[in-house]
Amino acid sequence: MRTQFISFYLLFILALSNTFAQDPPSQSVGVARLTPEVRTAINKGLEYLSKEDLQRPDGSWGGDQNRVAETSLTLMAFMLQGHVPGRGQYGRAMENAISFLLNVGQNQRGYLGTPRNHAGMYEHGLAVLALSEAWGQSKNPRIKSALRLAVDITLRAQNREGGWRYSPEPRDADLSMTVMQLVALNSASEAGIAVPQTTIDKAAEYVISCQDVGSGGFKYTAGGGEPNFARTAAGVMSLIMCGQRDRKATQRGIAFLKAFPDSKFKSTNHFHYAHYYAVQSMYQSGDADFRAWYPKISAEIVSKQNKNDGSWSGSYGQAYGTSLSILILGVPYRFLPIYQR
Amino acid sequence: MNLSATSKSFYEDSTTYVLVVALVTFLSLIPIEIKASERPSGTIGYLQQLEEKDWILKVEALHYLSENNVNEGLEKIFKLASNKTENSWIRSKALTAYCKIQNGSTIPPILTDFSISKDSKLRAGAAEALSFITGNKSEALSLKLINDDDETVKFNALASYSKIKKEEAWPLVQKMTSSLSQEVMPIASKALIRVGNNEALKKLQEIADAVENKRALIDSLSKTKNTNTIPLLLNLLEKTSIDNPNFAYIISSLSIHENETLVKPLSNLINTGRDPAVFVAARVITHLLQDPKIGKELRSAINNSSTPETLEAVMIALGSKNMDPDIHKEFFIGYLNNENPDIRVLSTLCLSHCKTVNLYTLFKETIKDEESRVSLAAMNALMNTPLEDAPTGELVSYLEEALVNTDTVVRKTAFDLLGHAGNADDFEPALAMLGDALSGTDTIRREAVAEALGSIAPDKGVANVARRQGYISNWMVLGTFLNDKEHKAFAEEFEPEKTIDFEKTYPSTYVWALQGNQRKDGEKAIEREIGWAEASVNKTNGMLLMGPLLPPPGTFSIAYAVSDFNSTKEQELFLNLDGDDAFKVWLNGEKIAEAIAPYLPRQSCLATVGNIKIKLKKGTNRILIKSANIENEWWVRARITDANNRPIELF
Repeated sequence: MRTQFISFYLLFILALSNTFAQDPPSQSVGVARLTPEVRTAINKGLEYLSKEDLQRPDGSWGGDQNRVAETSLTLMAFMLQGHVPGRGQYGRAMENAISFLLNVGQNQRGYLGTPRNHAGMYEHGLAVLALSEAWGQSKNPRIKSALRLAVDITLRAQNREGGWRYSPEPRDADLSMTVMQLVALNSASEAGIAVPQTTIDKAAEYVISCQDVGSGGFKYTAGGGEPNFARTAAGVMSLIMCGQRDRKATQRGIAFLKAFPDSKFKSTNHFHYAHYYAVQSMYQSGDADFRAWYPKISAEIVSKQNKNDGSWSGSYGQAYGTSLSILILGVPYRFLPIYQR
Repeated sequence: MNLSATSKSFYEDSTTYVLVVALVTFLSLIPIEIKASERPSGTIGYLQQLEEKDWILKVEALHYLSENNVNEGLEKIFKLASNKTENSWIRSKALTAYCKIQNGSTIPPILTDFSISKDSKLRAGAAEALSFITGNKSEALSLKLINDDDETVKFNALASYSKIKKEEAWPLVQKMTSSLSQEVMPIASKALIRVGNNEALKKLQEIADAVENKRALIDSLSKTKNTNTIPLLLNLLEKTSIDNPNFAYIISSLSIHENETLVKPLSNLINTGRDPAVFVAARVITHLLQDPKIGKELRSAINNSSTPETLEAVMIALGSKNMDPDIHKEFFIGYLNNENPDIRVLSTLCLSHCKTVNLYTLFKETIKDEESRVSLAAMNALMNTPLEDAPTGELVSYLEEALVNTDTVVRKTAFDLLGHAGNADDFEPALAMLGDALSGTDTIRREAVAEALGSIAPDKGVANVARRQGYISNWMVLGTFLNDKEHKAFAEEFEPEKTIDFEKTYPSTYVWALQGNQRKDGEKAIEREIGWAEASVNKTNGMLLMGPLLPPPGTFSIAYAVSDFNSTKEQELFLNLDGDDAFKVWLNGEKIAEAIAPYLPRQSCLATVGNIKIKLKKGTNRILIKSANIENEWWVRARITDANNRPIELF
């Protein structure tokens, strides 16, 4: 329902402003203002992503292994600033991206992971997230049925512990994959796809089972692994999204993130992944936390931008690094429902 | 492969003969679903095995290679068949394997050579191998060998001839099978199976009843997909004891038939109403069919004269998840109170597979069953039942008898179920019922009850359960001060050891290392301010876990815990302390204990001091604990008891 509201809101804005994409009004709404440097960095990043030679003819971005993931993230990066599929300067690229994702699902009976990617459920989750966010903005009538099928696969792949793992079957589970599916399911639910509350509750309990008793950080699985910043950021974000912001486990996770030393902030493992979840956790945690957090991470991200072409390097290529950097920087835009409190 | 008739004379030692038959039988049971075009796993090994000296290894290899139609083996098998120094029975088996794999329509010269050999075993091999020649080129030679003097040769040839001519062979088969010796019955049965008409099957039934070597007969039957043999196998099964190895062998032979073809013969068997027939049908359904369509017929076959074994077999068949057990729930419920405890257990298990029943309602009396195995089966089933079916708030009275059962396993299972299905609404009733165990001296029972209560306790209830066991449960905590790998800060005197002011805050430092080995030399510590906070034990076993109460990361840390409690009088009691990794304890300002466990990376470092005699003053007493941690688990625990280990509650 909220998505529909956003959609109308976007149309309203479009009608009022011809310079919408360059200077969206929401930039001053957030608790942390977007500085001119950040705005420029985002715009340059989007220009980089929209280069004709970067998007494949089938509408996808990225290499052969993770095309669905990179396409989903790139699509989200465009939507983040309020760009709408089918309209404006990035409209065609976004619509093509949606078609690509839908075709992947159509060819695999609803499953959205890149074929032969052993960790295809990550991609499946990201694509569900992107399509859920796009639903209501795109005119593509296939999104709804594709989402229903995809969500059904996700629901059936939840294991007995409440988590998910690499393949779409209910076997084992890990925190990272479970968070991905939780975020996707929450987004799909917001978009109007029926997701049983018991699925969300069980998944949240799995996330909590991965919390390290001693430190409050989150581990890779309930049974083991060390807690770290990236996993904790992911765990906290997913719990907040499940409406468990005030739960002791969530608060301990936030305390863990806040105690994380500045000296390790820049060089943390899985930099983009970690900060994508961390910045959202801090945004959801409250104004004071976000005000303290956002300037640090936005300055760090801006400093890492390739000044020549506006891209960012990432663990899985430029499209991955660029789209995630934009998603981190652009949290104050709040156009994506998933970014709203 | 049929060894019985062709080889008995070869093995003078009957033990060896039995071994061979057992081996071949075993091999026949291995399901073979491998396409000829693919190399089956193990091929290379079996090809090498053909060259072994041991005859049994050769036989095993021949069986495997021929059953899997391994073309790669043809050359070696031919060599074996041609080897005149080799035993003639092995050669004949090699010829049979060769012809089967080759699957050709012309008779190989070696087969012709064997057929005119003076050695009857070679001629028998030739007669058997003829059945693998496709088309009708083997007809003349088969007819020739039918007139052989040797019975084994003769009947093998008849079987091959029957394969070519099928029903047309009946007059000759009828004539030759009118009177049979025990030795050739299994081979003759092959001919009858291949003819396959009603009269032949009737004769086959006669042989089945008469033959002593039933295994060889079953072996022949297991090679045909002729559905007319199904009733014969079922009949044979009905006459075979379940303890007889042939029972499983017959079921295995039935497994080659499609499920749909089994339904009618099974239905006919059930409708005879014979108790052994119903028993057999139930077993076959359990192992092979699992088709809900036949369930009702099977259920109807049970009556007052059914034996417990048959009832048991039918319940097992119907209770399978694939048989849609819900449609038989009333049937299962009817046996919940059966006089036979085995049947009661079975009924419970079958009902646990039903999705449309509320097991909590059904098992209300079952969990009180005088036989502990029945009660346990019911409670274990409830452990896998949807939690929303549990009688919230009334679970304790529901489990009342089991919770106080004299059988410790039943009691422990009831505690587990309470912890699993109970919730905060069940806590107070549970505490009222089981509270005495908390203040008792039976440590095992106390800990089991505390664990169960811990699973359903609301936050405040945890401390209550701990306090009733004598654990000090309300604390003020302060941390963390920086420690190191040698616990140097444990010896250092921080301000709370001199003065305690709960309003005061303290400058402190920490390092970001989540494991002991992550701390780098010279790493700069991060500053922060810390203050006292109220805390309760977070486990019903009395543990004060420091991690959840203090700021992260909790490694290389020192913390303090203080508790003030009242004693109504001056008294001497006993204090038991434990913790991970180290602690110092002061009572009313006087140091009374200190323990430090050796550091073990990523492991528990348990320090314990027991039975410290303490003297409490009348009024408020203060206990101060300094606790140290390097990594991993971090907790302290203090319990006060009297001289008889009975807990003393102090507030």
